Amino acid sequence: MGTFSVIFQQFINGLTIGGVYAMVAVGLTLVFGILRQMNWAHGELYMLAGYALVITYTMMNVPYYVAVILTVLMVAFVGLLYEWLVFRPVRGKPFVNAIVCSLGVSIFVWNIVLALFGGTPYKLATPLTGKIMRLGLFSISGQRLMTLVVGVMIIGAVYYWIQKTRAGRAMRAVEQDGEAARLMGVNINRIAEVTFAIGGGLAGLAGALVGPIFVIEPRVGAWAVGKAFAVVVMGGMGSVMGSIFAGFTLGVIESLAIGFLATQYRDLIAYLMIIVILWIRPQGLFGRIAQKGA
Amino acid sequence: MLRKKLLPAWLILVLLVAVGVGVAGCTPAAEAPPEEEEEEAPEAPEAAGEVLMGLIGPLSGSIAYYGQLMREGARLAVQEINQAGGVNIGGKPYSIKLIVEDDRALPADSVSAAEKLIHDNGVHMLVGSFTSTATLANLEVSKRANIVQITPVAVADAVCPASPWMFRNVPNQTMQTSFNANWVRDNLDIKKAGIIASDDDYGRGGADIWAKIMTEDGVEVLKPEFFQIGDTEFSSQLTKLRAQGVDTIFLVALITEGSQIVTQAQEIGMDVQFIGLGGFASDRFLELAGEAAEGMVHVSYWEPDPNNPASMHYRDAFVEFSGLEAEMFGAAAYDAVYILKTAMETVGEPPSQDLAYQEKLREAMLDIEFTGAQGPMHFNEDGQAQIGLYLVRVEGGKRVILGRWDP
Repeated sequence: MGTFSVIFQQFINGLTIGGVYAMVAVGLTLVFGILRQMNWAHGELYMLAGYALVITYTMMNVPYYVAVILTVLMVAFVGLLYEWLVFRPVRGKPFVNAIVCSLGVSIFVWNIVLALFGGTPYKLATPLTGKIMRLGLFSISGQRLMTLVVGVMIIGAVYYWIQKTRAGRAMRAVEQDGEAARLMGVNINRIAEVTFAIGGGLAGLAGALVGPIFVIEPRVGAWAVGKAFAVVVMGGMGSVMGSIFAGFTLGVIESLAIGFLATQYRDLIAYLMIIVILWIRPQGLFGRIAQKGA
Repeated sequence: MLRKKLLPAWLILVLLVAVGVGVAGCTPAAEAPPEEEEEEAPEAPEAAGEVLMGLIGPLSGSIAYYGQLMREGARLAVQEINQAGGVNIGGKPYSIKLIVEDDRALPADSVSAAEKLIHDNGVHMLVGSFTSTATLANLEVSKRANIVQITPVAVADAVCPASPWMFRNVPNQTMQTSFNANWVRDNLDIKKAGIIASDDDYGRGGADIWAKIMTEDGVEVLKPEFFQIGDTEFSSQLTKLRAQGVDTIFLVALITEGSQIVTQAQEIGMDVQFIGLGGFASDRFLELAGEAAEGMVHVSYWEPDPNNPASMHYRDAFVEFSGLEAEMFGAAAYDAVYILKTAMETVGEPPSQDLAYQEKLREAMLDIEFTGAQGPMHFNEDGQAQIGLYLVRVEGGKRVILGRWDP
C-alpha cells in the first residue's frame, strides 16, 4: 500500500466513525439549542438501540433492514418518554435540574439493561457482515459503507427539514427566542416532542447501524455521550451544522492521530484540537455568541 | 440575559463532565449495590466446627461474568468438601462456610469488602480478588490484620511480594508472558510484530516483557498501541499495522475489546497471526469473535487435559454444578479453596484469626505440594505458585492444547 492510499484509508475510517459521532451529537445539540436543556442520558439512547436490535433481529428474527427501522422507531419513542417524563416537568426550572434528572435517567436505564441482559456483550451478524468492497484506493466493509452512506443521507435530510419546512422553522424560532415564539403561537411542548423524537431516532439509527460492527454492551452509553458532548462543544452548542462538521472532523482527526502517531495520543490530539478551537472561537465552530447583550 | 443565567450552569456542567469522564473511566458507575451473599453450605454430618472463608470478586459491573465464574468455582469446591465430610482438622470434621462480597473491580470497594469480611464476619482466610488493581488495594487489609489471602487471578507481578500473607495459585505476568514469547520465538517464523494492549499496568507490563524477548531474538517489534478499556473502534490501528507489514499481532486484552480487534482485522481482510495474553480462554470469546478467532494462539491456566484426571473431573463437575462453561478462572478459584483446605489439615488446629494460627497456616501454605485441576504446584517464598501453563490454538471454533510449560 502506498502512503497516499494509507492516508486515504485512514480518512475513510475516520469518516465512518465520525458519521456515528455526528448522528449522536445532532440529537444532543438540538435539545440544548432549542430547549436549553442538557440531556446527560442521550448516550443511553444509542446503547438502547443495540439492545432493540438484539430483541427484534436476533430474538424475533425480523429481517435486518426492517429491524433497523423498528429500532429507530422504538428509540425515538424512548426519546419521547424522556421528554414527557423527565424534561417537560423541569422545563423553565434552573438549568442544573435537567442535568441532574438526566444523569439519574442514565444510571437507571443502564442498570435496567444490565439487569435484563447482563454485562456480557452481544455480537450480531447482518447480511452485510463479512462483505468487503474494494474501491480503488481503499477498501471498506459493507456494513461500514452503509453506515456512512445512510448516515450522511439521514443527517442531510434532517438538516434540510429543519431549514426548509414549516415545523423546522418553528423549531428554529424557539431556538432563537422561545418567549417570542410562544407569543407567535408556537406550541413549545409540541416542538420539544419533535426535538426529542428526532434526537432519539438519530441516536437509534447510529446504534442500529454500528451495533453489528462493534459489540453491544451496557457501557457504550457513557462512551457515546462523552464523544457527542465533545462534538457539540466543538461545533458550537446548539448548532446542527456545527455538530455535523465537528463529528466528522473529530472522527478523522482521531483516525489520523492513531495512524501517524499512536493510539495513546488519540485523545490528546483530539482534545488539544478542541481546546485550540475554543480558544480561537469560544462559541465553537458554528456557534453564535449569545445575543441581545446577554 | 441568557449568558448571565447560563454562566453558573456552565461551571456545573464542566464539573459534571469531569466527574462523568472519571466515572466512565472506572466503568460501573452505578451498579446494583454491592450485595452480600451468605452461603449456607450443606452441613456436613456432625461437623465439629466451621471454617469461615471470605471471597471477594467482581460480581457486578463490566467484568461480572468473570467474577461469577470465580465464585461458582469456589462454591463447587466448598460443596464437594462439605459433602465429603468437611475439612479434617485434628481428626474432627469442620464444614466450610463461604461468605461472598462484590468489589465491582474497584479498589475502594475491594478494600471495604475485605474490611467487612475480616472484621465483621470474622473470616479465617480470604480468596480474591480478580483484578490486580483491586487486589493490590485489598491485600493491605489482610496484611494489617495478619490473615492469609490467596488470589486465583490478579496476575500483576507486584501482588505477591507486597504482603507476606498473600498467595497466588496461577502464574504471574512475567511467567505467562515469557512462556508465551519463548514459545512463539521457537515455533513460529515471525519477522515483524505489532502489539495492541490495554492502557493499564497489565497491558503495559505484558507489552514490555513480550517485546523485550522477541527483540532479543531479532524480531522487529513495533511500538505498542495502547487502547482505553471500552474502546470499540480499532480500524485505524489495524490499517496502520497492515501498512507497516506486520505478520503477527500480540494482543493483551479481555474478551470485549479482544473480539472486536480480531473481527475488525478480518473485516479489512488482514492476514496476521494473533498471539494473545489475557482472558481469551473463554467460550464467550469464541462466540463473539467467531471465525476471526481461528488460528489465534494464547495462554490458558486450565484446559481439560487427559493427562490430568483432576482437570477432567473439574470440567464435568463445574458444568453440572453451575450451568456455566468450565474455564480457567473458575478452575483457579476451585483449586484455591482446596489449597486452603490442605493447608488447614496440615496445621491440624481449629481455625481462628489469631496470629499464632495464621503463622502456622502461612507456613503450611509455603510447604504445600498440591495437585489440582490446574496440575501440580508449590509456592515460592513470596507466595507465588510455581505452576505450569498451557498454550492453546483456536481450531474449528475450539481451543486445542499446543503445549504445556512447567517451571
